[in-house]
Amino acid sequence: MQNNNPENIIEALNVNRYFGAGNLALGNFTVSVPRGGVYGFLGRNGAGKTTAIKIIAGLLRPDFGTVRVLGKDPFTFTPADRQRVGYMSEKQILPVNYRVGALVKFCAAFYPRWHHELVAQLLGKFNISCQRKIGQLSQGTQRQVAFILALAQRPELLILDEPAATLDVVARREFLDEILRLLRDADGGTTVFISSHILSDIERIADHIGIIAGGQLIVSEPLDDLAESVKKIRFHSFNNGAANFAYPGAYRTISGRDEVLVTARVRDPLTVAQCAQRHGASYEIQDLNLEDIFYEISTR
Amino acid sequence: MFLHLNPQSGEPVYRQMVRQLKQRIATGQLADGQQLPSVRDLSAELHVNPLTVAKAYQFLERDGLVEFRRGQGTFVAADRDRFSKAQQQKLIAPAVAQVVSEALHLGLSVGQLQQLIRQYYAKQQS
Amino acid sequence: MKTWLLIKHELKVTFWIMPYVAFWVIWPPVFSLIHVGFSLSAPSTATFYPLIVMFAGVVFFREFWKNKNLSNAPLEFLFTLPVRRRQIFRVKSSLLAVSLLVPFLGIFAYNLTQPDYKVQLPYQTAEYRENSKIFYLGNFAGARLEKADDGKNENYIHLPSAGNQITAYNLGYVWLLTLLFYGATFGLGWRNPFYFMLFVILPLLWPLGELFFHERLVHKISFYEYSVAWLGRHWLGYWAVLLALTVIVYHFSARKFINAEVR
Repeated sequence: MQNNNPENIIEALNVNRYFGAGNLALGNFTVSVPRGGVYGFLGRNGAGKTTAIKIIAGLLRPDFGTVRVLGKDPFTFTPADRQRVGYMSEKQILPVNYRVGALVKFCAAFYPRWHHELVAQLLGKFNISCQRKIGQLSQGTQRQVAFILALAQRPELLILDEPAATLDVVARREFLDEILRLLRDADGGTTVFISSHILSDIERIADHIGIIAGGQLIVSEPLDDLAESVKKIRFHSFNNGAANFAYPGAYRTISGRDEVLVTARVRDPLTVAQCAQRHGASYEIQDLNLEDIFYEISTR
Repeated sequence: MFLHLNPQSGEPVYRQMVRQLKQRIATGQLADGQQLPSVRDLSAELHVNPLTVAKAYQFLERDGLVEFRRGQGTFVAADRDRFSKAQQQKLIAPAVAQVVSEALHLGLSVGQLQQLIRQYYAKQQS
Repeated sequence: MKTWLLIKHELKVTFWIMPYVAFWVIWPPVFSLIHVGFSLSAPSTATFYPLIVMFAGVVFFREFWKNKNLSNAPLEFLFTLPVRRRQIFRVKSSLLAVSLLVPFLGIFAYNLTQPDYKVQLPYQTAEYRENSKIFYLGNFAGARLEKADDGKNENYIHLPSAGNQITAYNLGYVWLLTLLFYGATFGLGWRNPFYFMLFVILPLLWPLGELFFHERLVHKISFYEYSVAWLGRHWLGYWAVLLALTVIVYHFSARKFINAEVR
């Protein structure tokens, strides 16, 4: 594969995947996930997120294109490869008539580097009894168990699909803290690929953002770059009225009587100043948080 | 070290860190030669990605405010240049812009504002 | 050992194991109490075996449809564990094979201790009686005639080894159906309507067989008995074909399982 850069732990190139009769779930999907950070994978429902994640996790095959995880095709992972990749599904996939303790023992047998102390610690912290059956736990607790099982593997790559979906606020913070702890302990040796609708969580921990829409990755860059470049600019106090004002390449333009609100990429503040000057207007630049940015990009 | 970070403000977290650390160095809360917490410790304390802390430290180092000592950690630069005039002005510019904006709004003249500023300088320096 | 863990896991999550085992422990003794003879003129338990498999097939089919899997542990979980899919398949198919064999071994052992099968010869027509006598005597090892004491025209034939022959036939039949089930599931796919039709068509085999069975001379011999007799004359071919089919279906299913996608 051409872009086989060892610095990227996940590389997908021009992946196509169809579902049913000609429904294109992913089309020309390309992503490169650098090692050793947190990659936040965002997208609306139906944009192809879970399909992409399942292909990366080796549960689905692309109809066209290549995927390389840890340098290999994930669908043909050997058990040794699987030991390096932790996966948490969007759905509850743990067998329901296992007791928590028994399931932990079962999984531990497949991973030579299983972190027993961490499991005991987290089960205590999240207040999960080893004697209860998985099927009897609440949804949120089931997710916590799945999360613990993924963490305990000490994976090089942790793939999380909507991991905090049914957790309450406190549980979510605890969950984020555990991811951060994993990153600290691994000291650059672990990459987290996380997909979530809770953008405030992503904002706390991610350093890279990818946004998928219509089966394609339309944004892939460091979170800081995204936050620093997508801005809302309010042009006001026009000399000659706000009519006919257009900011080139804007995501959204809302015109008022004497002011215009523009959402756009601002790579160079000078561009904005020049544009304002050209139209004889003043301007203010407003910061946008990740949720706003995502909204603006997804609804342009 | 208690830094106030708001991941949802729209300003990148590393920038918030750099800004606050610069302020503390400038106002002497972090003394020359003082050791800063390790990337690992600070990221644990602040509940942020270690890469963010590392990036903030890198920016501070680039600006000459901190230095990495191999095997020891990160320290406030002892022999750093005091902030250049340009840097000083850049740091205080947002606060000044806001004051000026409000003064204009209230109808104060430049002279009146200057007088007010001189009063406060005198008060705080004593 | 990973294999042992997988076996334990499969037993734990295979919802039908306990009821299944319970059924096959209880049924043979119950069956012996209501055993009403060989021919299909009265409902014979021999026809129940296929019906049970049909019923089981529908139950399995429903679970299979839901989980793509004959257990209630989703495949997604197993496929993301560090285990080779081939190993998982081997464990699953071995368990299934053993589960199928166990009841027949049980019945087989039971038949060894059971009194002979006794069949009453038809007495409407001398020709029918004669043909039936030839049929039974010719197709079942150790068959012997028994005359009633009081000289009445009621004759019985003892078939001491019939039980074993029947068991072997039923085993082979159920085995064949299972292969068909697996082959169709992996080959046609569970969403294929013809796949579902299979389980409606199969129970019609015996009645349809009766319809097209032309040995009118052997009036009271049923299609089922005739098939069992035919088996008795073609053991080697029967088992050879069964073995070949097993190998083919196993490899076919294994390949499909290993390449299965989890949607």
